[in-house]
Amino acid sequence: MLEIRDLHTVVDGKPILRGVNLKIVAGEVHAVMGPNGSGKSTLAYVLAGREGYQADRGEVLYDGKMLLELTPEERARAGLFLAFQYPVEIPGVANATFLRTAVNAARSARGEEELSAMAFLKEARTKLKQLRMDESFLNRQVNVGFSGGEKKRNEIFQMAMLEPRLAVLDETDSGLDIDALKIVADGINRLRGAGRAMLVITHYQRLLDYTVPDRVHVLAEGRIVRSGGKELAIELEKKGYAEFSSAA
Amino acid sequence: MSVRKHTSNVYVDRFNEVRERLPGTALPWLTRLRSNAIEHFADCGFPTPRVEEWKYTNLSRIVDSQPILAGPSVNGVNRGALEQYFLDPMPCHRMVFVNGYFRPDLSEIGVLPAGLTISTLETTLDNRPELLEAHWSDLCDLAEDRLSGKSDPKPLAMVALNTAFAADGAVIHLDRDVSPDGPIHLIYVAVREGERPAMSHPRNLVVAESGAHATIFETFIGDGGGAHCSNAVTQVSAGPGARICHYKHQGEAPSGTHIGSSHIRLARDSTYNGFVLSNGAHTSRNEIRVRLEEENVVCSLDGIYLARAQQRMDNWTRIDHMAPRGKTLEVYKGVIDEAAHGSFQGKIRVWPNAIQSDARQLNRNLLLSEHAEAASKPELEILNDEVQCAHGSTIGDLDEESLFYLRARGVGEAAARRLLIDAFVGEVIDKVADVPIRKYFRNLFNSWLSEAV
Repeated sequence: MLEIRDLHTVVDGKPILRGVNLKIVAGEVHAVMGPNGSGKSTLAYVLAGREGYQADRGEVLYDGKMLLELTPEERARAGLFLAFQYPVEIPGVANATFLRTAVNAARSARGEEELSAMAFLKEARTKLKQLRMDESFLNRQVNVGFSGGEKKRNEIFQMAMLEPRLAVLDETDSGLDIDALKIVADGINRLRGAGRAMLVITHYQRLLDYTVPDRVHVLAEGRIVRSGGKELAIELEKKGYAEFSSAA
Repeated sequence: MSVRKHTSNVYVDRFNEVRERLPGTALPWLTRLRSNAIEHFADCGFPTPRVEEWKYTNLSRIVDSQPILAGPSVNGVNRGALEQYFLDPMPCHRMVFVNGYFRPDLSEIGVLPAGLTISTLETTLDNRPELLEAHWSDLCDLAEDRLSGKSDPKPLAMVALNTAFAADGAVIHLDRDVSPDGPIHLIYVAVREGERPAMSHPRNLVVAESGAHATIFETFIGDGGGAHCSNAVTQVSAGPGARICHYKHQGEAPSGTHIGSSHIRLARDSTYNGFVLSNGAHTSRNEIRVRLEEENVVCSLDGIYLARAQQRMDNWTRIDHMAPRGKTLEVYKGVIDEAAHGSFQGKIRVWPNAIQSDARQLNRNLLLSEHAEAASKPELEILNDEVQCAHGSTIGDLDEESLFYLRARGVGEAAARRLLIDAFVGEVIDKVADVPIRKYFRNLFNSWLSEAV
């Protein structure tokens, strides 16, 4: 579903990704772990198409398409979802308006009929209930005045509504208490399935207790330096990243 | 200086030509006020950007075109062309003025409740001149007092010009505790008169006696067939416990000039809700002066300016807290696109005896293009210690992070920009309490937004 080949990225004149190779098959959950500054968030931004995070070399294939040639909105409409490490506050825009606009943008891109306000609301309430989140989420302005945990849960709620084919979660677990972490993990697990793939970027192994990955990769100094099964995450938790920082 | 003197002399000559034909010539007080006013104007001339209060308004374009004095015009406007500006559901009362003159054929004044008078300047000068005398005299102190104790007559030169030439306008009076259903809609239409642009001087007065409630909506529009200059003055007076909602839409034709000033006096326990939206004219200035003259007055003043192409939009406000326990909340927001210029100069002065005042002022500007410009000068002048005051000002682009966040959720770039602009302006429109008027401004903003890039 996703194939990253020799991806290089320079941000603000500094090389951050220095030849990333990664292949994710539909139905799999991959975890990318690594020390701070290893390029994890940069990888997420390059995949989502953020300005200033272009590839200098290499390519990314998504469902056989050249992902990097698409605009951010085209990527999203094609089923790519990025859960932001720092979700953005948008004063004056209600969460419901924001989400309905997003859901309908994807639907019309697929040639489907747009959801009516009523149909959207029904769907949103169902999803909120599954995620044990309060209905008031819908009326609040996008992330404005949300606690750190609420912002992360709002990302998971958006993911549940948009039902992406490929979800990239950028440190969605950071700063969460155990209850919020379970809700986030539950949201991820609900979407796990044959047609979808996930790339879970995390610093800690904690989330992976609840969302067991098929593969774990270590990103250090802009490269994937080691890949393995779920046991690799446990090993990293014990030993830390020290050996990878000095290895390059 | 000599050029300016010369220009103002032209207006003195014109005044001498028309003075006998202006309404109210039989009233000595009015004759005296008009003479003083034209003398004052002759001394000052048109305000230029060298006058601090007029820093962001340049009238040279209209002054150089030597506008003629607008006369009563019976042609060129039909009801059908105006219908798009009517409120839905329609109000009970609508007065239409063409080039400053009342047009009964386009107006609709329903059955008035006892104690509500809706009239024109000319009629009022005939049958109730004392009402006008009190309020016109009040505005005749044509000087802007400064903190230093000195005064400067120049900022009010356009009010003087209006006083000299004013021939028509709306006069609305509400007896105590009168509360009509629905708004009173005043529509001013500017049309072409011959080759040279015309200048009109509508003069309005709204008086709400104690406990009365009124909703006044002023709409300024133009037919686009040539430059026009509206120099409008509206005076509003709220008695004790009265409540006035005062809305204005400045939507003059793209070649027009709009110089509007509102002068608001508020007695104890009264409430004033002012709101102005500008999207018209080439050059415009909305000046609002509010005086909280007695205790416990609540005032809100909101403004939206939507500028594009080469438009110049200036907002100038002055709010005086003159008595204890007054409350002001002022929010002005500008969206400026292409090569337009938007500005806000707003001062709130809290007088020494106005203890326990609460005054808040905010101006925010959104620039949509690299050629767009904004100037913001909020100002608080606090002359006692027992107050709560705050002011703020921002000028910025659309937030890149927010745009990316929306796009990363599949919202197209243009739609994302519109959503953010809508959020920026929408919260001010949502403050409009009257549903038909809020709908009017909503539709207006939506159509402006749909043309934005």
